[in-house]
Amino acid sequence: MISSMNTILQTNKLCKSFKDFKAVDNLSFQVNQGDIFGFLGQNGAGKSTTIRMLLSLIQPDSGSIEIFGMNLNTHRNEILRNVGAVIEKPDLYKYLSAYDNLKMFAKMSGIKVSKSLLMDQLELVGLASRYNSKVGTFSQGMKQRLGIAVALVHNPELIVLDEPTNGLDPQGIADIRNLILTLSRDRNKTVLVSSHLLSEIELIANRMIIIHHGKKVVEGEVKELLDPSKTILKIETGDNSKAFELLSKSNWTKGLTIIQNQIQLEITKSDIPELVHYLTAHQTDIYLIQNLHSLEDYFLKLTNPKEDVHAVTN
Amino acid sequence: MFTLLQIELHKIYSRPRTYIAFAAITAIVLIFQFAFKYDGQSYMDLMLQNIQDNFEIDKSKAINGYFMCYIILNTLLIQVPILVALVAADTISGEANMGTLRLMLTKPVSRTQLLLVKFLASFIFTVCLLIWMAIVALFLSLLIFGQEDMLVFRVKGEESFILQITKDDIMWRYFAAFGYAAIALTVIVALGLLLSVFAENSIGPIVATVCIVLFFTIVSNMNIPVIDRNVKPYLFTSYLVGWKGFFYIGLDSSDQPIKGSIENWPAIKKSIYILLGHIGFFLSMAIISFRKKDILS
Repeated sequence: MISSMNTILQTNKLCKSFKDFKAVDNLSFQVNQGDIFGFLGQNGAGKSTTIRMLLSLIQPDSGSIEIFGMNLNTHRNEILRNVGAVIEKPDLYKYLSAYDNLKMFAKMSGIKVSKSLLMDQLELVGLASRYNSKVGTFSQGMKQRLGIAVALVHNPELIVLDEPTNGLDPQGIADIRNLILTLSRDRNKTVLVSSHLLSEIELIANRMIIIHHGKKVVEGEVKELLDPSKTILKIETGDNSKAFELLSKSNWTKGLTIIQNQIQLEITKSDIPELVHYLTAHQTDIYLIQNLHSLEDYFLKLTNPKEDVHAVTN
Repeated sequence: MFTLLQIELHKIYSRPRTYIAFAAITAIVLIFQFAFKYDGQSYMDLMLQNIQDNFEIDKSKAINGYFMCYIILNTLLIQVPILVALVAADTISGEANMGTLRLMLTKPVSRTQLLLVKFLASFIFTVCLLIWMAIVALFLSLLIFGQEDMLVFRVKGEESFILQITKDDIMWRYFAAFGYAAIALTVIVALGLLLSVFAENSIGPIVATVCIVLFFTIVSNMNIPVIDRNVKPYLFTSYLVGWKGFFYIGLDSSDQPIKGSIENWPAIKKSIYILLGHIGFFLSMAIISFRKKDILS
């Protein structure tokens, strides 16, 4: 059933607030089968909150989530049978062995557990020789690998990894990266992987989304988004609502959004003069037009705390 | 559900902390048994000083296995709730603290199911604790002190008196008393579980459960008419020691004990219903809260 579908995961206008803080704001995106989908945003952008909503750990205030074509609210258990996840740190039972931890979570996933299955998983993540060691004696990297074994043990269709390389040394990061690529290429798994590092996502993902302050900034093919001829444009006009509506009807709808009273969209640099002409031809006064250069520059600007400090002190 | 229960029990019994309760009970019981073995007569003299003129009691037979167990239970069943709270109040908050709660809840298991399984596992732990108590406090005492008729000291209003239960009429009372204690301690399990849902570390709910039990126990033991009438009936701690009712043997018109009888069975039954009501209330609240809880740990 699952293999015949193209869209594995789809969120629709997802919102979540904690008291006055809006963690996720009207977030819609989709993950297709076989994707390594990068979920990118600076710390506090709303990645973990979104991932927790995808795993039904947090209830959205509004919006909906569909996974494998089913609504998460009404088909939670059916969906989770086919999802494996590592959320932030892979915290496991320190007083139990790697084997016992894996066995326990495999049983919770509702599969038939055999010693060979568990040992195969431990072999996959390079922990077979330490199967009987207590998790309390493991390094961060080993725990992370065991966490991934727990996420994979029931052979899920969708794998959700929240910042899987956090706290790992360069070798550990490379190991996780290779594992994700292997899962996608050799096992045809769909992987959603979050990170605050564009360089990391760039290396493994084929599609990605960038979120900032809980809102989507861009979503699309990594190659296309990182194309140096493409840019993010910020526009401020005399009537942003009117300009937004005009642009919605134009060819420049990709990434079209209003953030902090400014219209943002993705555009090919060579199209900018035509866009300006289009708006002015429709009697729209343009007060500001800012080319944010490449997506990479834009993301670095978002994630560079010095820029924020600079802005505040100015 | 059975697989989940197995997993929970495996987790509980894999942790060294679990055995603290068993070790504490064993140590206390052994101290009691040692003290009574070597200086039990002094205790009996103290207990009987006001009434020994009216009764002729063979003190050497008064200290026996059944009597020892009764004395130990009188002391221990006030402290055991603390030991139960150590496990029950840690069930959800301990997982949240370790970070394993979020991983568990990404598995295809409903939150209600998970909470019920944790409740069941804590209940089984409590029953195991009581069985262990029965082994060391009752059977070991019977081995050390032997079997004789049992004397029960009772204070009713201004009056103090002694009830004598024949040795062939005692064992079933202990089984009933341990059964009652299991229900009473399950209230603590449900309360601990409820408080555990709201916390993300174990210390808070464990301390809160113990404080609530201690506070309510103190209030339950106050002999002030206005509290007797208006407060005590609503406190679960007023019913925790209801197990003693099984040792208050019924008396005939000439004040002779009636074998196999209980003085006030309706009162025990009422206490059981009230305790079951508390379990239902605490557990329902825990389920409702847990289902709505955002897992941020």
